[in-house]
Amino acid sequence: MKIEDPPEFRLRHFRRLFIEVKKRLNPKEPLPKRYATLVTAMIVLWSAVLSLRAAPEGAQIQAAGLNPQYEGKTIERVELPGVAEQDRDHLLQLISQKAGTSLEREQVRESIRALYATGRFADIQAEVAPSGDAVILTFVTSANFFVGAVNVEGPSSRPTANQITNAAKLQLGELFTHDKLNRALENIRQLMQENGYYRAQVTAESTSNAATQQVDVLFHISAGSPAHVGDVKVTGPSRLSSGQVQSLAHLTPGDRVTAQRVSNSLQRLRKKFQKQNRALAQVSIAAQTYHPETNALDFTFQIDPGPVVLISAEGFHISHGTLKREIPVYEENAVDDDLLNEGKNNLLDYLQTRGHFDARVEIKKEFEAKVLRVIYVIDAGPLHKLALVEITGNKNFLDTAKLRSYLQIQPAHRLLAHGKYSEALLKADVSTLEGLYRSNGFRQVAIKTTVDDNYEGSPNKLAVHIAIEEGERTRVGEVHVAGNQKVPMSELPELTIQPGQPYSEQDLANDRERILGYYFDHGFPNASLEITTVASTKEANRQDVAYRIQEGERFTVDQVMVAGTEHTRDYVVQRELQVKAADPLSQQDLLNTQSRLYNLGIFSQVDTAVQNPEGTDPEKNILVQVQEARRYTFTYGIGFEFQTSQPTGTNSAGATGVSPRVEFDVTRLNFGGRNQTLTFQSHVGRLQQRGLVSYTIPKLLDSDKWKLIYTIFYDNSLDVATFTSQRLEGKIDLRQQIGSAGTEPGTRPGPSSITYRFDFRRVKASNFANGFNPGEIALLSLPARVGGPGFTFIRDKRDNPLESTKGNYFTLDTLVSSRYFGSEADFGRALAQNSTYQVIGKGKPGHQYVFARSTSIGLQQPFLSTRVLPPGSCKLNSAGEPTCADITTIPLPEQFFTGGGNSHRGFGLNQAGPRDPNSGFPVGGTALFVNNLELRFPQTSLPWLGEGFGFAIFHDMGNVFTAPHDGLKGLLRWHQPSTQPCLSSGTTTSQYCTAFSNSGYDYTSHAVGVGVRYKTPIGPLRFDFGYNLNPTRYFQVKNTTLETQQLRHFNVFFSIGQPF
Amino acid sequence: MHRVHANRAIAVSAAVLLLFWGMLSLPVVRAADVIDRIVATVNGHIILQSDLDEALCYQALLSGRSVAQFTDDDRRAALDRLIDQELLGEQMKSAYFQHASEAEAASQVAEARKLYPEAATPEGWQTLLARFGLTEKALIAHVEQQIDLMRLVDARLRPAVQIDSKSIEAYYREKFVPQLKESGAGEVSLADVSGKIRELLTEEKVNELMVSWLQSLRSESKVNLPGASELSIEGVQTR
Repeated sequence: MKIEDPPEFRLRHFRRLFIEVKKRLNPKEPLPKRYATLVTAMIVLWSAVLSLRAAPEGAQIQAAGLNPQYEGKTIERVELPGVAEQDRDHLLQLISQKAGTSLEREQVRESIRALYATGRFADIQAEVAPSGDAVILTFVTSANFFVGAVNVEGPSSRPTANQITNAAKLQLGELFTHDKLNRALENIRQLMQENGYYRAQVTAESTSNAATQQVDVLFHISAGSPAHVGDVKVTGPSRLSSGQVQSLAHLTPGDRVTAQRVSNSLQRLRKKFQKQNRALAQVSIAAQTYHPETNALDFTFQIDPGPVVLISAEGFHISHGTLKREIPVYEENAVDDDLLNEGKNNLLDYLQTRGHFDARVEIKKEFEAKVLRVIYVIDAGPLHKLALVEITGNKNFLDTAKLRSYLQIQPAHRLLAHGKYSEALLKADVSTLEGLYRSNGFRQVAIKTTVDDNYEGSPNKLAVHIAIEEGERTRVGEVHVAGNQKVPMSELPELTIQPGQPYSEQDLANDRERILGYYFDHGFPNASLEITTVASTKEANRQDVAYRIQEGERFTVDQVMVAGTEHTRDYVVQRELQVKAADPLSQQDLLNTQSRLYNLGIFSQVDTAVQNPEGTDPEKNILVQVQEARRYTFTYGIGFEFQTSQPTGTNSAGATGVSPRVEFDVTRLNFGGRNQTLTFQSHVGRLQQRGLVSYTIPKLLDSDKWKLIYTIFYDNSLDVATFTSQRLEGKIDLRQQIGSAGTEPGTRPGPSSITYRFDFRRVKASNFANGFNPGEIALLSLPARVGGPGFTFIRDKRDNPLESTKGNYFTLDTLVSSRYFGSEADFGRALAQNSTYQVIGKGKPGHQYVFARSTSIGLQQPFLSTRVLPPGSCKLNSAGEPTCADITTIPLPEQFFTGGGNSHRGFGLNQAGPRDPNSGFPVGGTALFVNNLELRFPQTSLPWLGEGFGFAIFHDMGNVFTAPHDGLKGLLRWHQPSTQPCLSSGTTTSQYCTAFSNSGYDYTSHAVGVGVRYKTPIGPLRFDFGYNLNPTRYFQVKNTTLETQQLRHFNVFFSIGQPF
Repeated sequence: MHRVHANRAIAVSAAVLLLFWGMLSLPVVRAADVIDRIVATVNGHIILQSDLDEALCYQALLSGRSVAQFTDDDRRAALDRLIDQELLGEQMKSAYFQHASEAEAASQVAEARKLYPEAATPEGWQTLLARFGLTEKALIAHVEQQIDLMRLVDARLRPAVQIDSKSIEAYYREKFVPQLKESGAGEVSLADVSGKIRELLTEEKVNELMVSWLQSLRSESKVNLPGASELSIEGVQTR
């Protein structure tokens, strides 16, 4: 009996097993009878004509396949009907069967394959038609379509439109198929059900664009009424009743079903078991049964409480809090070997940092009835202290400090009383150092360690000596680069690895990154690089390096298609595009484009993608799909404000004012579709009323570096105790960014900017303090126009504006107010501030001492008829009229005031400087000098309060001076003149009083203090306690008696952010 | 009324004749001939009409049949085979097995050559190949590919097949012996044929596994038949 089969038996047999041929599925519709006869007759006649006249003798007409009569015929032309003209030429370049060559079956096949591989076509058919002695070859194609905009219409609040779009999983630019659309619909329906919308109707409407081969999809969602909770059942060994589960889960029949509610229910049930220390509890929803007739969803919870898990430590006292912190079982609410071992390692670390360097920890598990005991058995060993870690022998590589930063073992210091050490840590450290040396060319490095456990004669006091024998450093031999056929060597980035230089694996990695980065950014997304290193055969201790590049196909940009703009003008988007037609395709450019468009702030979503990413067509279309953000933003709020140095009428130091505050802002983005912003901001309270309208043109003349802002501003503020300041201002700011505009991803704006400004404002001081010199009220209370050009220069080289540790910050603000610009006072003003920051010591970032200093200098110089009047110099004449009504002065709200938490912390807010001799209230000055020195301590943790606290000590000095020349004298004076002679009667004393008012306040006030900081994401919360060493003494008329007063020594400030 | 109908018939006939005459008198404009097209796509790879024609030619040559003898069912089956081969070809990239050598393929081709007495001489063989539109090199490459596919299946599935002695005994008792008696041959002991029965049962099991593997591959793959209506192969399906 023969039981062997020929070799092809199996394959043939397989086919019979699984192929079934059914009858035709799509029979054509029969034609209407009366036309069918005629059409049939015509077809028969037509066929007869062709066969009579055209068919060569003996030719066989095949269903498909190259007719022998065409084989070898010259191709007159190759056609691609239905393909856009701009694409046709380059597609014809891709195919191997060219016009002018002879028609070959294999070439036609290759051409179809090449066209199909471009991904642009769903179907291709090659046709040949005779044309004289030649033939015309036509590739008849049907186009593929790709995913364009995906939008949602009519979603509920949950799920949101974004969630629905994400659930659709239709990626911009990918091939669009009906299968994908059906899957998207199914996913959305599932999402709707997860959110309780079991009656949701989800449909899709697709709109295709033949020119761009894009399909936009709009999902229509009709959520329907949400399902409600039906029965709640429970299974599993929990012994909980259905009612108990309902109560624990807060899931009651009739409740609306939402994903959040279901998730919360599970959380609550799990939490219940967690509280019982049942970390192995399993709570899940075993079944959800929907009843369409009642729109109810039944839930069946599967609950297995599992055993009670008790974790303890044996052999060494570990507090329960420490166990909870170190054993991740508590945090993860799960028990497995990985978590237990992580806990073991954490405990070891805990013990070693407390001096138990030889500690051992084992895990013991004990199972009892419904209880699992996990016991960490600890052998703590003796208490050690690592006093010294000495590194020797490092000569030609890293210095000792750098090497130490790689070590895990640490000698004892202030915050680590015993240091940190174990044999395993030391071994790991040696391994790290050896690896570091070897990767940098020290192939023969040898590291030996000795541990002295009787260091300085003290038992258990350790010293670790790490002796490094570096050996000779390997250097780079020859460097070869191969495979760069399309990019010449001169265009490639310069290599870090150079012959003769020390060999370093880090340098090799850098070169890899730079070379591949270059290729990826220049249209070679499939580039790869192989680096091989071999010992040089020519020189000892040299390593030859070879870079072999596989460039892959170069892709370029065909068209850039922008979609989704409704109101935005085209140029706004176009000027942000970093991808241009015919440029090499660069992923970085796509990211930059996306980033720049997001930075405009007028789009809520920006997607960039390559159309048809999987196709081999080297010319790719780029899709930029944007979604415009809401153009109007309304912000409103209500709250309280409080501020010190409020005018009180009698208390010259001011009082703390409290007031309710209402805010209302409106922002209109993308005004006119030009990416310009119109803003209205207002807040109204008893302490301050402010309104602002501004119009911002962020990219003047299409430049990232120029910004123009028009502002109209009204302010009524009471931050100087003496008077109420009113200001109505209009200004034009032209801001120029110097250096980088910071619009590219990963770049920061250049450190410097300058704002050219023209201000025009009307200022008025009113509501003067009780007893204020009546001779001056008439003068100072007059409204005054101030206007003129100015500029502000800012140079910011701080590492972090919120918490600076190094760098500097410089500002210079100037103004020239002159009658030529419509001003009523002629004066110039300059205010400069320079702050520097410096790290002291070598702590880790965030744990360093920072020395910060800041100096502010302000000068105002009147010119033409404008004068500076010292306090009290304007008296009333005998008729009770002011003697200086005709004099023009710098308006009071324009004067310098200082003092407070952000300037001189020896004064209350704006309390420094000259004072009115009658009321004793500050009147400001025309010169200012403040110098701050501050030492900021590293952050630390406080008992009970936790981490994030920091301290500072500071010294502030300076003051506001009557006039600039007084400022120079005042800087050298630490004390005011005595006030006593002024209190005596007589002419001499009157002159003395006048002299005191003129220059008695021109001295330098010093304050020292301490500060407490608490770190928050918006900057540190700051409490500063300042003690003024020489507070200002001043005069005040009380009940017609002139008395001497002195500002308080002690001032407290609360604020957010560092003072400078 | 009848006259109206008769006049209409005459007019239609005249128009048809006029059209016919016009066609004869017009210069001949040949419609384009389809010379190749996509008949199937498998995970983004295409199978062309010419691939199918070529596969039929191989099949005809190796099985000693004429291409003209192939029915529509044969063509559909050939396309289905090409789809399977494409799916298995994808698996081949990540599989390790002994690939067929050219000598092995040439040996198989030599076996096929024996089916044709006129191919005994080199000239006759070349004439035969030309008749099928094939070359010897392409034929050997095709056979190599077929052997590789079979080896892939063996390497993947055969290790999973275990035939126990009870199955062999059952086959011997229930199938082999009755057929032996029916054919009137003498008695053959179980020990003499157990090896061959094991091989047969193994083949059957491999076949079963192969079916389910291909089903699984198809369910995970994207197979489209854009040219199916032209090929009259609507309804090709897997089960």
